[in-house]
Amino acid sequence: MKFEPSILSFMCHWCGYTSADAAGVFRIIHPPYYKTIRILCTGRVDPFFIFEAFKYGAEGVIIYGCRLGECKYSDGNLQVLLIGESAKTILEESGINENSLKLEWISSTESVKLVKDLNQFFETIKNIGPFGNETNWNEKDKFLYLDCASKVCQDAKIGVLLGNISKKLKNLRDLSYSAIKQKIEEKIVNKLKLKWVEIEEKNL
Amino acid sequence: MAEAWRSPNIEILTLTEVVNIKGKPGNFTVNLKINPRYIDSEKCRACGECLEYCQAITLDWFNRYLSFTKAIHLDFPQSIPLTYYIDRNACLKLFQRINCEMCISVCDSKAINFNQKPTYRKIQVGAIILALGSEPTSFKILENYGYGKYKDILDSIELERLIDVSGPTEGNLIRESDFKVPQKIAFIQCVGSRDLRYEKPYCSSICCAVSIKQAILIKEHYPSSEITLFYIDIRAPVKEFDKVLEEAVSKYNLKIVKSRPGKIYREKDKISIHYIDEKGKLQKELFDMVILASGLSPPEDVEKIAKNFKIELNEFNFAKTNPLNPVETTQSGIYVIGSFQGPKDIHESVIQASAAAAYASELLKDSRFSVIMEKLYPPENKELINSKPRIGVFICYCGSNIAGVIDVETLKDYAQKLPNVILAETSMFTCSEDFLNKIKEKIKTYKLNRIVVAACTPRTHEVIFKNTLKEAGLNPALFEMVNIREQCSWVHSDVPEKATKKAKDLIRMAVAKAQKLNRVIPQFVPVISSALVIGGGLAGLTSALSIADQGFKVYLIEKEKELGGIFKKFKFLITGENLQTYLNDLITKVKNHPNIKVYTEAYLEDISGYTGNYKSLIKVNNNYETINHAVIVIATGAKEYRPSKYPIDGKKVITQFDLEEIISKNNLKNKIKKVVMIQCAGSRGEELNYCSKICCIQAIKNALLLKKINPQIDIYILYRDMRTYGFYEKYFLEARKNRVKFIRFYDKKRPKVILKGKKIKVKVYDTILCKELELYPDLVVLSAGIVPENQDHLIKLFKIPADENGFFTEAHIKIRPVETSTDGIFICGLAHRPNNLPEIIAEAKACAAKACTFLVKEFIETSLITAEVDMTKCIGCSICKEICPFSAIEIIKVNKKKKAQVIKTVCKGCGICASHCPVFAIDVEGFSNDALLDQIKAFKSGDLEEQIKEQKEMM
Repeated sequence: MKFEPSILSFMCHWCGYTSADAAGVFRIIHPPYYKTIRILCTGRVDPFFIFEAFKYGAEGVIIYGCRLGECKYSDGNLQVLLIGESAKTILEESGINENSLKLEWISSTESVKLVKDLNQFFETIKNIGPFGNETNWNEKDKFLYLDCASKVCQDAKIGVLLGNISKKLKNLRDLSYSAIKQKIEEKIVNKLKLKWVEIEEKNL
Repeated sequence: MAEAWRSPNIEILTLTEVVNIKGKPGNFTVNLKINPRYIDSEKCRACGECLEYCQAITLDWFNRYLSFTKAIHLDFPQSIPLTYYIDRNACLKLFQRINCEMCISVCDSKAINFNQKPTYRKIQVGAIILALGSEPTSFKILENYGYGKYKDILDSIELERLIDVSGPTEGNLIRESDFKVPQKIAFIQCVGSRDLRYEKPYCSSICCAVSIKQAILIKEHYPSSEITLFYIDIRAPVKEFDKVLEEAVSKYNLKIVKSRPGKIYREKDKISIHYIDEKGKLQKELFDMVILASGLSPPEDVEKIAKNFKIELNEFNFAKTNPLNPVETTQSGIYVIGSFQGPKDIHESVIQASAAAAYASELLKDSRFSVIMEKLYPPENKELINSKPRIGVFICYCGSNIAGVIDVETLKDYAQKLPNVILAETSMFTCSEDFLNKIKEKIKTYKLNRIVVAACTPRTHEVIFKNTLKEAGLNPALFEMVNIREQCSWVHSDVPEKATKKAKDLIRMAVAKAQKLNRVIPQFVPVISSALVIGGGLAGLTSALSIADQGFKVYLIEKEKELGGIFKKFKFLITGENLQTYLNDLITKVKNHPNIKVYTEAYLEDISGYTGNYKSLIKVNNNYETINHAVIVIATGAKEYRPSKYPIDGKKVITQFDLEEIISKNNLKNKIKKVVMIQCAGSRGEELNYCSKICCIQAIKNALLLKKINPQIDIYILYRDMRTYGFYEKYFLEARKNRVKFIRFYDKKRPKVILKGKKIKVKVYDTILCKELELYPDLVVLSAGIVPENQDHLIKLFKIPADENGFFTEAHIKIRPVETSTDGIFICGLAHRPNNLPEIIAEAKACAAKACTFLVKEFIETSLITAEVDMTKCIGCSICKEICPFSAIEIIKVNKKKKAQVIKTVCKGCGICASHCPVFAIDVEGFSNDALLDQIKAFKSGDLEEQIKEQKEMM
């Protein structure tokens, strides 16, 4: 049987979800490989949600936020950018293809773009293959590793670090993509890696 | 739009015209004619079946006739009301009398009715607001530019539709002639504006910004395209615009040419444009596509409108208003907003809309609350809510919309087996009145305490079901909706089995989430019905007076001894009204108003509390006083900038404000025969990096005043772009007729003022003559721009953002222009941005209207979705406080330990704090960690099936 990915999408009520509704009104047919969780703002997405999703069967996670600068709550989508970038670091560290997580920015009327992005993401995941394929994990491995990743995110120290970064960026009034990327590399990548090793050791 | 539609106190009548009006302000009788839609709005469920079968194809006006639609259609998927309509000029039955009636036979809900006739209705209203909009430039003007004659010449609205992803080409910019992507694109500005040939002497204000935006969008989409923009003056009266323009020019390599193209014609597959370049040479250039930046014209039937409402029009056929009363028509009780009042951008329309609300509210304050509706609900059944989850799942067929693809009955069987589901039922239309009543019955009979509805989108229908829950005595937060129509059956109709499986998964996830939903009781926080206005300038005074006239107490604090602010120095208005009389009148009114208490030489020392309940400490003459108030209007104003690069001496080199002072006191020396005015002295990239908006108009005003005093005075205005936007263009024209000489200079070659003993020399590089000129004037007047008063203290107190120049920034530049990121704090006047008088008055009035939306309430009801801190977990790190976009979190001390606390009235429920809390102490109602986690866990079907098995074994 052909591999059909199953994907979890987090959609912001004001943009992604509205566009998805518009895709319905326009009857833009596309494969049903994804299931949506509606949230008010993508800033609500906790980093550990992403790993829990992988743990419970998702092969890919896609997050739809408002276009940068257009967040209804002023900077929620920039916060998720920070969360997404750090989640990607953990993905990489645990050997999972970082392309399994994608962040997209969309306005509330871009149904065509939404479907295009989704289709593209389906292709990406199809190329990556079933979860754990690349890393040769069995179900038990997968559960263990993802549990570790999830625990890294739930760690209070990491949480404080992340919080402080976003605090700093906010005070600098610079929530640009490049600034976020730089801050993450400066402040958190090493800590995340250390934490990862620590928790991995404990668990395995 | 959706919010207005949902408000119980707004009735929207579409397809309706005003036949006539009678009566007087406070009591108008309006006769309306409601044209038939041929579809019953109550019954239509916007399923789109009729669209599929409709046989009459017609051009789609919404897409500017670039695509096709059917006679029966929706203009766009977010339309309000979400009901299809039949275009009677396209319908086979209505127009061609062919008995088609296909739509009738396919409509499940029997909504189509060809027998509908126009109905007439009489309504009683107190005030009338005209928001009639404007028309794009007419074909008659466009055709002079080759539009209609040659393909690949578009107007800006057509381009807007083409580059819109939901437009006819799905956002692909293609040429009409060969469907290829154009490489070289030209924008021609001022088409149908600033053009005496077609009797359009005014500037349309928005086209420069529109074209720049479109150019940026094209460049982002097609980076290799080459864009040239032909302009007269780059204008956009928004302070952020210059930055955007400069970025666009440098980042995207836009070519901007100050020239008005002459000949436009087709040469093989390209469009040829002749123009004179800045060096004075004739150029001929070929383009693949030409965009005409069309302007705004008054509505076509403007004369009929004027007659109907008995209002006067101005010389350009827009509604006539007075600059000191910018939204009131010549007929009292009738207000005008948006581009029918004059060409303007979105944010100005929004400001005017709020301003008109303030006028109407002042007028109608005595009858406030007399006709609004409020709904009452039965008390909640607490016992039921507190017991173990008992879930009811209701699944909708939506005619064949869902059931045509998804096997709804298997969904029901599946849902029935999910944990804690007591009841699963299907229905033809879940949202129909009779089924809603049935849900209420079922809640009672089966003691259901969580409801899951699988139907269409929560965006439109969640409210309806939540109300049903309330009516049944159940807390509305105990509801979850599954979208199996828009996001399942409609988009996966090619694979019905997989769609059914997806629907099952979605229901499973929703049921899992529903288990963890908690009851939420909104809090009612009492509102103190008074406002604090900071700043006693024109904006502050206007705002204070309006709030007081609407019936509320106002405290006005001013740091100076006298009220009036910067406009005391503004002696004249270009439009001729007497500003000082108006200002003095305003000050007297404010001082004598029983609802206003004025504090001069007062300083805001400290503030505590939150929206609806602020406590401010003010210092007046070394005494301290505490004021309680609900909202704050900030109008701290601005002052004239003094550029450091010019030798201002107050005698020979002065500023525009100085000149006004001299003219008003009749102190102009007779020997002054030659005056040079320098625009952008210090502004637009020299010392200040923004455009101060007022200086061009001020310069022209003063030049005209000088010419009136002595027509022999030689006046030179040195400028970069003359920004006499909108109707101010008239005065630019008048100045040129009065022989005021205008010399344009480049940004990089600004004029130099040299003082040599008693003589002044001004050196300027003239861009037309292409050489440096030396002028020896008797007086140099600098248009110096304005800078905000130092506001650091307020920025710190209120924690509201300001830009790098010190102007306060609004919550959203276009749609929330006077609100800040904190509820209940509003900004207006020059503290917000440089602006001209009519706009400032409108802004101040808008603030008053917005402030009163809080003041009229006895209580602020908190939203159902807010964050909540678990004090036992909180470690007081204050990350949440810092990152909250609404300052809705405060740090309090509990047993000497720092703890975060959510200010419920301010919280919007975005959840940014929850995702950033390192110890998971914050949760958001309706989207709690537990609920979302369970929803995620239910993603995998296996686990739940095991649970079901376990449950069965236990039984």
